[in-house]
Amino acid sequence: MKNLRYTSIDGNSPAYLGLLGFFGLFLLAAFVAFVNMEHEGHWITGMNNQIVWGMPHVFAIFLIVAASGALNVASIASVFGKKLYKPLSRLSAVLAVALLAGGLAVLVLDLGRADRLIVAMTYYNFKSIFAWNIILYNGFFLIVGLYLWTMLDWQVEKYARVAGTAAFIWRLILTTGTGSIFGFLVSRQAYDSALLAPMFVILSFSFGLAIFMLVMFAAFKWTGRPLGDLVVNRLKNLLGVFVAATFYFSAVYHLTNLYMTKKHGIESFILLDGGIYTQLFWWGQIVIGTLLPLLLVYCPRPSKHRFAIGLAAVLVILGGMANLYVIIIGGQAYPIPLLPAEFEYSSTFFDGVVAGYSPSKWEIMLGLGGVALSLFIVAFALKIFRLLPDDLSDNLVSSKS
Amino acid sequence: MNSETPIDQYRRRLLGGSVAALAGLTLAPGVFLQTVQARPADEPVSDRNRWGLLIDTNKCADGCNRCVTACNEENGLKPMHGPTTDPQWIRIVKVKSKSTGYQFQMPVMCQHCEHPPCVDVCPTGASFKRADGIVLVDRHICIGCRYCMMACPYKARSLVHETLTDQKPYMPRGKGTVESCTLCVHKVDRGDGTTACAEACPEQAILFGDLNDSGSEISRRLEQYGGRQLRADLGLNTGVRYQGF
Amino acid sequence: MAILLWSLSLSAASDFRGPSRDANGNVVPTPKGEQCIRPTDEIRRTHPELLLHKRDLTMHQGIRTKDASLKECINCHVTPDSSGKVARAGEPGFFCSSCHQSVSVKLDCFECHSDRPESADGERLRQTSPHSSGTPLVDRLLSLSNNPKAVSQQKVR
Ligand code: SF4
Ligand code: SF4
Repeated sequence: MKNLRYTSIDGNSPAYLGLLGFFGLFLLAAFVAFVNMEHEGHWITGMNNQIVWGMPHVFAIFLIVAASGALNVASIASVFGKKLYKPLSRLSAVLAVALLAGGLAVLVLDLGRADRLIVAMTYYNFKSIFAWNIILYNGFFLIVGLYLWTMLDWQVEKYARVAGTAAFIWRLILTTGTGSIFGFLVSRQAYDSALLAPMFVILSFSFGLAIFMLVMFAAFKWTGRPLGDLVVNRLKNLLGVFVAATFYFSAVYHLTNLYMTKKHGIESFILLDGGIYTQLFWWGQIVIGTLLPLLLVYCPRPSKHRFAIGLAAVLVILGGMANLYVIIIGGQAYPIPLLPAEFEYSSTFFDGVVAGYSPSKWEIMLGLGGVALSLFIVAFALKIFRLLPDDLSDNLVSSKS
Repeated sequence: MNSETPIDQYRRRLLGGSVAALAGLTLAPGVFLQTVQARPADEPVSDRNRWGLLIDTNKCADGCNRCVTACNEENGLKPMHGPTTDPQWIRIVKVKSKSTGYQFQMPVMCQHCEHPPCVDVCPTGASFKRADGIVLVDRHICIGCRYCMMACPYKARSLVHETLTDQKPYMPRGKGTVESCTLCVHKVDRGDGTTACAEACPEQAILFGDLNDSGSEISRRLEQYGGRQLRADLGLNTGVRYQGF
Repeated sequence: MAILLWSLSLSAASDFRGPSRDANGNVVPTPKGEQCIRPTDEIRRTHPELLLHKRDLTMHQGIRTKDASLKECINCHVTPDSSGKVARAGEPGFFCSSCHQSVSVKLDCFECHSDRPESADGERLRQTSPHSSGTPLVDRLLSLSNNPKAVSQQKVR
């Protein structure tokens, strides 16, 4: 452990450049989508006056939530003193920053007036949780940036623990803030719940770790660095715990809703008869995002294979997207109650009916562009910073921890 | 032009709010503009007034849509790319009681909440409430995030989904910003003392007035017959009240 | 009161004089009024601040005096050229554009604000017949609401 050596990658190989080019294609597509949406207006997207936040927000919120989760590995190392994870801290911090940048880019480029970003940065309404989030995001960049500095520069290394703790606390607040964006919306039955904020914290743990594991696998494999089973097995078990915790929170959320008569409508919508949203909940979130990963991670046979573990991480990500789709879009599709339950009502403005939504290609291009931006940043950072340890095989790791 | 002569005041008291518009039509153009004490153009709005609407669902005639077309006309709202993205500042909601089968319809627009969730959530402060209770969007600083649309319990807001041209000079609107009923703020500021929807309603089902003025017709009618708020459970103390159901 | 309003609307209506042009026959439209609200030097420098300040006063406090009101600027400065054509925002002959383009300062006022003078007649007509629907006659005659995009199109996806 002592003689752990971090190196940057050469970043000249055709494969590396090809990878950057591959991400670049997605960035280009996202740019085209953005220009088109800004020029034409939002009518070309699937979003409308009923579903006001659509696919871009699913991607953006996924990335933002995952960002704080990706910092976990670093936090465990420096805050909770688990030496085993120390060699991965740098990658973890960089990934966190990259994911946040990708998510925010999508969020910002989807604005009706993206050209007024400067307004968003200069006019603040401090009653708005959204405005607080803008501050939290900027702070996250700053704090994680400092934290990364303490890890990269031995002269300030002694502050690593302080910076790591600050980053850890900040990230908890940040995800709570992101969850509160929805949690404070009293008007919509799906969101009006104090549980949303802590649920987002748990979601961030599992999304962030899943992405981290995939990036770690790829980075070690493609640069020919050994990665021992010891670390991988710990991470995989951790992923299992987070997935189970997510499931637990989701169950509590739905059970408490079922306890409240006024929320029976939205619950049966999500759980029973909401069409695509019900499908996505059961198949996407529960089967693909929870049960299968748990099987892959905990069954003795598959869990020995890297491929199975990687697959579990992919499934957690897919399930997570489904989960957010149900929360964000399903929550808007379900009609807002205008009148007491005694009345039924309709209008030309889609009152009292489930709102329709089908994502347009522009939105998906924009969202994927955010993912590509995050990965592009990571790949580029691997070249300019010394982020990865040369060797993380078991004998090196276990000698110390 | 905004000073009110004693004769106008007298006429206002004599006629009362709802018939004044009618009188305005027959007397001379512009007379009905002066049914409410007008504020000098250089004086800021104040919380002495709280503008609101009272909607009588008993009067709202089945199948009628006049207030909606009047609003669209007044504010320059035009059909663009279909009903899901077209702006609707006011809409007719058809209601049926499940237990008794009683049916009625009513216009629903921005309720001009005293504690507006849209204002609370807006990150830039573009959504704001004027001192006289009118909730507006300052489009100069609206970034089009649509958080206010997520927060509004009445679905009162629309995003402008496309490029607009030929807006009304008194009602600037544009792509990428959010909008909703302004309570015809340009008319209120001019001293019209009414809104386009209230003017247009052939049944006088919509009454505009000052909730803070206990002598105003809206206050008297509310005092006499009461009036309910939509989603009163949220405690937003709306400026738009409903009577008749 | 009514008489006052009448005279006001008459004076506003008489604003639609024939085509006006400046001494050189330049495309820069000639304002209708005698004099600007500020001396030329000053208004050239300070109009952004004046407009910004007034914008906030009007928006948030409902102060709608004529001074430094964008609407009044348009009413006075947007006039027909020698051929009777009124330039649209962004076109070279439009009052604001003529200068803003040469100093390349982008304007987005007219994405929302009308680039046409108020039609006093249209206003009055509509008020006397609040039940009318469709474009007011005068607006149509002046082709002020000739919006090709306003045709209802179903969303194609
Ligand atoms: S009705 Fe909606 S838009 Fe109007 S003030 Fe209330 S929350 Fe805001
Ligand atoms: S869309 Fe505009 S008004 Fe609404 S919350 Fe966002 S910035 Fe505020």
